[in-house]
Amino acid sequence: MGVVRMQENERSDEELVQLTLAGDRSAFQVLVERHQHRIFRLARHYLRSNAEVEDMVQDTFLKAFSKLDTFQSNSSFFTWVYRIAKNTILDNLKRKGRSPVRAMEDPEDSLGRVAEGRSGRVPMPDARMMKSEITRVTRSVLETLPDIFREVLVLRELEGQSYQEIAETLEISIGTVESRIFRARAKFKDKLMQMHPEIVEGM
Amino acid sequence: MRCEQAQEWISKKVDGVLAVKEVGQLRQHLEQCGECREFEEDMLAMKAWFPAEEAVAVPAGFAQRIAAMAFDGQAAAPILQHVSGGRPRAGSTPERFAMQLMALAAALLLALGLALYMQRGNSNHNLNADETQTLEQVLEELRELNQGAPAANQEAVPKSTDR
Repeated sequence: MGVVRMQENERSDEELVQLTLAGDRSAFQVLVERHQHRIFRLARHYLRSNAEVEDMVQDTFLKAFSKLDTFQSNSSFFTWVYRIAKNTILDNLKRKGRSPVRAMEDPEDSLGRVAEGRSGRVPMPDARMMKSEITRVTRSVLETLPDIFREVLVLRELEGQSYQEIAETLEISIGTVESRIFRARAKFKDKLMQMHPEIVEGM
Repeated sequence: MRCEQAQEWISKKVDGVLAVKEVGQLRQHLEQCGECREFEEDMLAMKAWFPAEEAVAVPAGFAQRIAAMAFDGQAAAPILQHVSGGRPRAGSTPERFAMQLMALAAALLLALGLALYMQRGNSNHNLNADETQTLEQVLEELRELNQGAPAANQEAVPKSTDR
């Protein structure tokens, strides 16, 4: 059994998908183990309680399993699961009346508003701030951003994805990724100053 | 170069994805534009608001549970400790299934108990052996009485023909 697991750990995602489709349970287990941390982290950017996070990640992998025969290797398995996770989380939030701000509320041509909104300078976090406090402030600001901006910041700043990976994950062009990250940062700055003036005053 | 274009390039520059020739053009713009220089400083400062994420705690045995649920159905998944503090999910966890089974077993026990009680109640209305004997004795007495009755009547009522 241990030898089998070791062999499966060395296999690519695509091979594990094929083995899972052939009925290999441990192959699917390895796939989940390989990607669960990133999907948990993604869910934590949208949901508050650990229980909600766990529920959504569980739903995500079970949905992925039920749709596994539709997975095509032209995108990475993680990208595919990420999209399932994001849709699962957003659908769940919508059902609970906690839908995040959607793209339509913030059209793509709002560059003018971004420029107008810039007031004051972005301070560095106070050196005395604990890392958890910085994370709390950042998360509170992210929660107020339209989803299209929040997701690019999460993928770029917190997940460390490249522009190419973000483009694949969100199924948008590189040009759109560049423009969206730029605008998301401008929005983040505005909201940070609005919501946490004490940080600016403390400069 | 317009400031809007310069600021989009600044955003790419802080991510290290601005092309070399664009870096040169941007530098020229920044030398002349104080607003865009401030924007660049803001973008660099903003990076500090996204510290490296702390490790996410995944519940022990999570992948094993998901694989069991996927292959055997949710009922077959082992009940595992939710070390992250997550609760068993309403609607689909093994814990909920176990609770449903217990509720069904309780309902069956109740129904069985009621059936036994009713059966016992009905048997109380049936006559037991002693009571049957007593009834037979009463019937026998009634039969004897009935057999003796015509004679008595005859004695009590004299035939008219005798007169």
